Amino acid sequence: MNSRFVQRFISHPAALPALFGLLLILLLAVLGHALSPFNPVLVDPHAQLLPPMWQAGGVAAHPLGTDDLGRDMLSRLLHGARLTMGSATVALLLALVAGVLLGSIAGLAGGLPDLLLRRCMDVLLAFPSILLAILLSLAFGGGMTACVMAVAIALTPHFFRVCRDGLCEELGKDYVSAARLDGAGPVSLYLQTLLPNLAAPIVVRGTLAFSTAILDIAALGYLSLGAPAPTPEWGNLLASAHDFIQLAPWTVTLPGLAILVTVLCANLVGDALRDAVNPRGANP
Amino acid sequence: MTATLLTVTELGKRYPLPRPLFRPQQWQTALRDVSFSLTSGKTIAVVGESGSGKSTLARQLVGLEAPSEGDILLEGQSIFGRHEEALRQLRRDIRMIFQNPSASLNPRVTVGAQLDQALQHLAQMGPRQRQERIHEALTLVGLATDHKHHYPHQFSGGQRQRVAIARAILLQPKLIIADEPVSTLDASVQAQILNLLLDLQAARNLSFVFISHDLGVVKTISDHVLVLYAGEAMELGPTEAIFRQPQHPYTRALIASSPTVQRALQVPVTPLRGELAQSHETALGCPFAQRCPHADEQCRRERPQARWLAEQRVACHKAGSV
Amino acid sequence: MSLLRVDNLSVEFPSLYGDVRVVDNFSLQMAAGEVHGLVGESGSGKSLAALAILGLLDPAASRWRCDHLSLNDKDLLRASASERRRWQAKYASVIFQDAQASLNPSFTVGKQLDDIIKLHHGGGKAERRERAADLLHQVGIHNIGPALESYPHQFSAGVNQRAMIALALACEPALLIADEPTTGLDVTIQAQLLELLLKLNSERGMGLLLITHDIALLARNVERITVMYCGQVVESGDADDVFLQPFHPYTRALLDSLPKLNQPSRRLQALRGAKPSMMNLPVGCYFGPRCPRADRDCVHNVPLSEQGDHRYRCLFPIGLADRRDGAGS
Repeated sequence: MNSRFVQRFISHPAALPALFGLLLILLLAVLGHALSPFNPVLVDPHAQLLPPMWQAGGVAAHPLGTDDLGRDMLSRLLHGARLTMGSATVALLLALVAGVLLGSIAGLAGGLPDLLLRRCMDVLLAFPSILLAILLSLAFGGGMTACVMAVAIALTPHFFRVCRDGLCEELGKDYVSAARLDGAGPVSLYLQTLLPNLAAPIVVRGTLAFSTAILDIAALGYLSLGAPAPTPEWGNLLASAHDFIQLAPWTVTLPGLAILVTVLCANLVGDALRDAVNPRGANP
Repeated sequence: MTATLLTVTELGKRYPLPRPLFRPQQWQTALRDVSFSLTSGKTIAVVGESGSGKSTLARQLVGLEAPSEGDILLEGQSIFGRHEEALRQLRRDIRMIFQNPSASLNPRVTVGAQLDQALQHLAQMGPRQRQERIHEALTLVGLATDHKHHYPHQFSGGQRQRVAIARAILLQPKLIIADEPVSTLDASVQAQILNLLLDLQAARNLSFVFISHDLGVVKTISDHVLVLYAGEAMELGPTEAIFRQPQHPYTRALIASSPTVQRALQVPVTPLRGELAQSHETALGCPFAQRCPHADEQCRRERPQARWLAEQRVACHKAGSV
Repeated sequence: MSLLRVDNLSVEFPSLYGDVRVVDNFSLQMAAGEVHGLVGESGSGKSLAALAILGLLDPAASRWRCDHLSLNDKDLLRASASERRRWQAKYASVIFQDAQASLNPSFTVGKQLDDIIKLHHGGGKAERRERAADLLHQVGIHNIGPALESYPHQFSAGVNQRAMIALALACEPALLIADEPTTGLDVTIQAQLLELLLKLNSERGMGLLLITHDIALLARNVERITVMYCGQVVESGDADDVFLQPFHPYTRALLDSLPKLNQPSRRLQALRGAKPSMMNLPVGCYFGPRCPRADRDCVHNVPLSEQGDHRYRCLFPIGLADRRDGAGS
């Protein structure tokens, strides 16, 4: 399984570059503090709207230029990566735990609990995730915590679905009956028999949901529903810069590019993982 | 004279059909009035077409489902309504081999870990003893002890069925329910697996309830045969007698249709027409009447009672006279 | 007249570990009206050989070559692609194991029959319907009106296979290739379908190539038989000869492993070991490692030998004089 899985993953043309890209971005996010040359909120009146170093007028001290208040773009992007990716990760993990928990309850209990939970999740799924995140974030009163909670709730139904449907499918299989006849109680049946078989689809779903989480967090930041103003966050950076889009295009392009590349990488890795876990072609 | 190990009395199972609005609930009969017993060290084969209730019977016998009527006794004790140690004892005494070994093994867990789980749940043993028991079982079914580190997909079909057999004999059971254990295997592998089952039976005094649609296989492995049709017992008797002188028209048709054994039949048979139809609770008459070449008014109106004819118990109005 | 002649057909699948030859120099000849059994266990290449003969292999995933391929005395390798398709559609039909999957689920059986009849015979609506009804009647579906209006999912597997046979008969083929037509069906249904196929053979003179893993199924039903193992033909000949006196130890073992009626012991004579992986075939005779008669010479390539009409791929055939002299050639 493992070697064939790796082989199928690698045979996906974009899988390896995307995986390395994603890992690199994660590494930058983790090491952002140490790597950034300036304090991201440090205002420098002598260095306002400096272009990146490869453009005329750029200086080597600010390789990616500065914004309208003279803050170093590289430092702001690196710190922003930490905040955006960090909160996306937290939201994702919360959604994963909640979704798997509720999905397991629905799948194992069946009957009324299953019906009620499914209806609730269907209602959540009926909203586009970004709209739901905005509504919830407003309801929670804005701010970073509210933003993370909102995104987590918006993502939960995806994990719920994967877990519940997976459980229902696996429960009908012979190996579950066989494990019951081996004397497995409900707990060990769930942990030792069912969960290992659900792990793969949940991980795949998680990778794809990661890009949604980043987009949602950035969108909320852009709408000033996330991190408060001076805190560098990718969506936030976009919002504060769009007045200068004519004058200083790099202040908009760079955070936009950061979001694009990260989401793209996460999606490509997710696609490759999904195809590797469920090979569709008859590839012996 | 050996003692009776398994007694099945008037077993019945019905499932609710989807209920139409404003109509009373309808039931589908999966099993009706099935009785037989099995002495230890012997094999009874359950034969029938798909939809005959074979697999339903298997699920009742291991206690995965409770019957609607009747009871199953193992050494005089009902297998239903057991708890705690009594239930564990039952799980040790009756084991099951499923039809498709790829489906009955957990794909993400190594074979050794799966065998170990069964021992952990059902037997009080230390880790060393458990490993010894696993090695013993794997060796007995003709696998290497190293195979315990493998995942199910790393085995061939025949080897996977050997693993499934190892899992069945691991707890030293008294009775094994085998649900079509060789039907997905190639002929040469099928022979290997049947021989293995026969060897294990001889070595450990095992009893089998062997469910199959293949009469050639049934002839090889069983001492008694129970023929099911639409959930009802058509004929029950010693294997040798059933193949020599089948009494029920359905048994004759089955034997005549089987490519391996048809040559032996001494009674002339007209091939069967039509297909098995599911029977409803309210259905009258013999379930086989629609397809039976000898059926008349009585067969369609009146359910035949089982009666003894030579060595067999037959449920047919016409048996013995045609 | 030869109905089907295949000489040295090979099929290869490219893989990460090099090419895997799944059919190796397969040859087959059928006379008009012949019932021919092609038997082999799973992975023996029997179905792939049939697909290659019909030109149904996926050209992107496989390569095949063949010295000679003719159907009804027409050389298909020299014909253009469209010519070949037309000729095949006219003279050969095929039915597969899973009839439900072979029928189009979105159309009624009547519509699917009608399409084929329109293609092959044309004619007015009433005429076509009559022909369709006649075909269903021939395959033993008797409540014709409702059957024509039914969708495949409304039928059982056995009736679907009958409908599939009716579709195959619509073009009045000279050759019907039946790939595991009764596998997975109940024995009584299996017997009905087999009887039907043989009846069609005798009434219409339609050649029948019956592909199966179950050698017992062929026992009394075919005139000639070809046995395959690991992509190679290991034995072929008159069915009576092969069944009564097989030369190849594999054929012998297949027959021996069947449950028998009057055997003294209950144990079956099982073959030892397992079929080798197609990616890692043994040197020389592929059956060598499992063969009770194998000897040092069996590591050489074994050609097909002939004894009259009976061909076999073995250096030490059962019941024949020792052929050690010819070894290794």
